[in-house]
Amino acid sequence: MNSNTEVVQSARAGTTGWDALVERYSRLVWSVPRSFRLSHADAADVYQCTWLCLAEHLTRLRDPEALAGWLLRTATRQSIAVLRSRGREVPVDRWEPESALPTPEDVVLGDDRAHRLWTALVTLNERCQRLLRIAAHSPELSYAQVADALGMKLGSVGPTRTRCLTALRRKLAVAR
Amino acid sequence: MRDPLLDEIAALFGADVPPAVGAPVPTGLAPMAVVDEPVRGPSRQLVFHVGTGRMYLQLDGPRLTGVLDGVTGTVEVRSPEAVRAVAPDAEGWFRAEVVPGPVCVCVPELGLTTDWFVA
Repeated sequence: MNSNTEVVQSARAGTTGWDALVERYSRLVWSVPRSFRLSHADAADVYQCTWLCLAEHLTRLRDPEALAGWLLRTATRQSIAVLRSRGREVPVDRWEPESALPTPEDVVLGDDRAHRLWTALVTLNERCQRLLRIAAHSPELSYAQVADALGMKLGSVGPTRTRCLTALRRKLAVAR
Repeated sequence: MRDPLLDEIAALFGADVPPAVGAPVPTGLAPMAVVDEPVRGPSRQLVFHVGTGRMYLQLDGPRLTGVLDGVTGTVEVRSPEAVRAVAPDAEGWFRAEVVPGPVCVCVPELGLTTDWFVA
């Protein structure tokens, strides 16, 4: 597998590197707004804005090997901005039909085990949900990158992750 | 060692795939420097250094209008979905319709681009 440095250099040159970057990190970027429980449409906006930001900053990116953390931080900021703006907005038409696009629940609930895992996961606190979803999709992220992106202390990432997984296992056992 | 529960979480969201949104692709051209001085006129105007001259762009809704000092060749107006070559008129003005979203203007003969901005 090519290093991020090689792929970013290829993307800067306008060749196939960009597609490789999108393929490598699309799931990570998508997982961030979804972990904030944003709707499909809002998550799609965050997703596109994050890639736009990267396209704008690609020539100025100092450390391509830290790109996953950069994307995580950018998508997190954008997701928080959407949440804040949604909090301030007053719906113009309260009879507007709800979006027909799938919610995160709609797309993940296939079988009984998935249903129990989902139910247990969404009863964890938001920080745990976000941390576990990001850890699931991006095992290559260092604790320092996760701490930076999620606004946590470096020393608390590992213990928090362990606590979250323990709590999830406990909830799964109870739901059996 | 990776906790197998994390693999289960990853599999749980396996069907929640990102949408095919138009993500802008880098142009591979050198970015133009933005003119760093107060601009007279509407704030929708963007001004860039291009060689020894300048390029002025203005967005009025879906209409992009521009003029480029000292360059008579075509410019490219790019969106994530398409690249359009636009030739300036006799007075040097070029015009294009753009859709809301990422746009960039390139001057291929100089190897320069405005980089992506949101129309």
